[in-house]
Amino acid sequence: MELSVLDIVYVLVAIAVFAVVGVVARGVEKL
Amino acid sequence: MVALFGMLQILTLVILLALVYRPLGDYMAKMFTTSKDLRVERGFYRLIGVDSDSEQSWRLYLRSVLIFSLVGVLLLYALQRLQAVLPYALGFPAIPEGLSFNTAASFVSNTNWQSYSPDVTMGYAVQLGGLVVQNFLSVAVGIAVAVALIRGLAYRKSGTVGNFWVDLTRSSLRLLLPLSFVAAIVLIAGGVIQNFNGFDSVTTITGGTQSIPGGPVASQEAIKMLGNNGGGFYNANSAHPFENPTAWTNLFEIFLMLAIPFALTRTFGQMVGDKRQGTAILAVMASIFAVSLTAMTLFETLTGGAATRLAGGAMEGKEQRFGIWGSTLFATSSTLTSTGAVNSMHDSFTSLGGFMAMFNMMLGEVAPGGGGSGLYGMLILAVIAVFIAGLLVGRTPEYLGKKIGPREIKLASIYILITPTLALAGTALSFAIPAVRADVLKTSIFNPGLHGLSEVLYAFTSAANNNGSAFAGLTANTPWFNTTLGIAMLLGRFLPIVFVLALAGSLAAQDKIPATAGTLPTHRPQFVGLLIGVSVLVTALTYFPVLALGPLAEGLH
Repeated sequence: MELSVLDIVYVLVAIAVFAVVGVVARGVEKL
Repeated sequence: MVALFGMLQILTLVILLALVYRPLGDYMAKMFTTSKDLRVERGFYRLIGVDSDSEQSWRLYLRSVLIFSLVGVLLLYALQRLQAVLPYALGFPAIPEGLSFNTAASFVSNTNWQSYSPDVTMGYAVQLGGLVVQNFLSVAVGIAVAVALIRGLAYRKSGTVGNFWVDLTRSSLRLLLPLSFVAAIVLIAGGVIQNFNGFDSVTTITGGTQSIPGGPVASQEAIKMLGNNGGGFYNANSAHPFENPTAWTNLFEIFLMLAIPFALTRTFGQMVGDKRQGTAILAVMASIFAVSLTAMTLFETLTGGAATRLAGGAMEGKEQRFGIWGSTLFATSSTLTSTGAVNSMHDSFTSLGGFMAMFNMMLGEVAPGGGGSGLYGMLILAVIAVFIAGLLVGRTPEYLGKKIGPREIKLASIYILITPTLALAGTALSFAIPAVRADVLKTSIFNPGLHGLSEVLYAFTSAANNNGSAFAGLTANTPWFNTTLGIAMLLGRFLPIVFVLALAGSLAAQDKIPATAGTLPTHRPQFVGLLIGVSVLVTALTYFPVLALGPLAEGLH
């Protein structure tokens, strides 16, 4: 099985979603 | 006679739930408050370097939840992509990228949306090593977060809300594993299959050959229902006779869905030191459940036109062995919790019956909701209700001795906006972007018009609320739906958790203020009524426009 471009894209999407949640959590501290 | 059997079924369920409510609720309360660790737990804590005696701030608790879940998504993604080289793959190839992402997001977020036919896509390695593992862990995360919020209400002037790793481990080892084991045995006794046979080829009575897929179904079914997961071993989910063979297993599966979420209200009452508070929350959940079940059963029995009434009800898409009552009881339980399992096809429900399934999810799945997520969702609504009551009669908003100030109300308000935003934005984008709309209409929707809108709305509502049930008419295994529904599931799970834990931290830091004549009692029927009203009104106001364009318009057509 070879790593495809889509694999990288979806892994980055997953990490990005959690990063967004993390950024929101940072913002919540200032509420 | 059908109605009598239906009512007996409901009565049996109520008795079963009443029997376990107290012992299970008290057991969970003890489990989360004791300082004693089991030997196996101590070994596990040593392995991952956790001090079980030290508690975490809400920020650290949240960080632990997010890191643990991100690792879960990545591992499950990798497992699916490597399926072809894994043992017990049953000859299935690697899962495509988009579907792997969707499924990883789905099972880690406790949604269990399935854009695929599991029995012809996933081998045993992925089913058991990936999906079942997440069936345990994802609900354990939900329960842990709920317990952190309870601690926020119970603690005084504390900078901590518990230890995520301890809560996760205890939920998994002391609650979910033993109960799942017992439930699996009961299901096997009821006729659910449990084997590693792969595919059996049989000759039919007409001389043809048929391939019958076997598998470790009962063990997966137990945690699927108990953990409010809902992802089936077969594409037909709990409508499949190997997963749910009889009316008795059907009732038992419904019981499994509801046992922990309802019992958690008892745990809540115990942990905050006032059992009446837990009873009040239970009353709210049970009332909404009863009204929803009644409405859905009436819609499926009495509406749908003359042909349906002559047939005794809307039986299309329902199993003869469950009938309408067994189907609506299952559907109500599945959509009011975050389970999303189906024993009948919701797409074939009458338009108003389908509306009820959708409305149940839009309530935020709080009656009784998913394992943990239902309780924390309802407690957020309780905060909103206390605030509204304060505005109405000029009382200082407080809940269980904690002041509901601007910060708390901001956190609660944003929480309730997250899932509607995801559901409505996802639906809107599916039709607003010309290229996407063309693809959705060509590939995914076979019922254009009002029903097509309902199907897409149902999909995003299910994903954003982490339910996972499907309307069944939508082809969702496309790049657009795999990606956007996957993102909706992750954001719909973890963004609300941010606000729940922030609220827990904010409440834990406060001292308790004594009740005065100006304090609104939150254990009386008056508050129960107010909380029911708030729960329904918030949903109705948020979703009414799109419901009017979809299922309501269809029902009135």
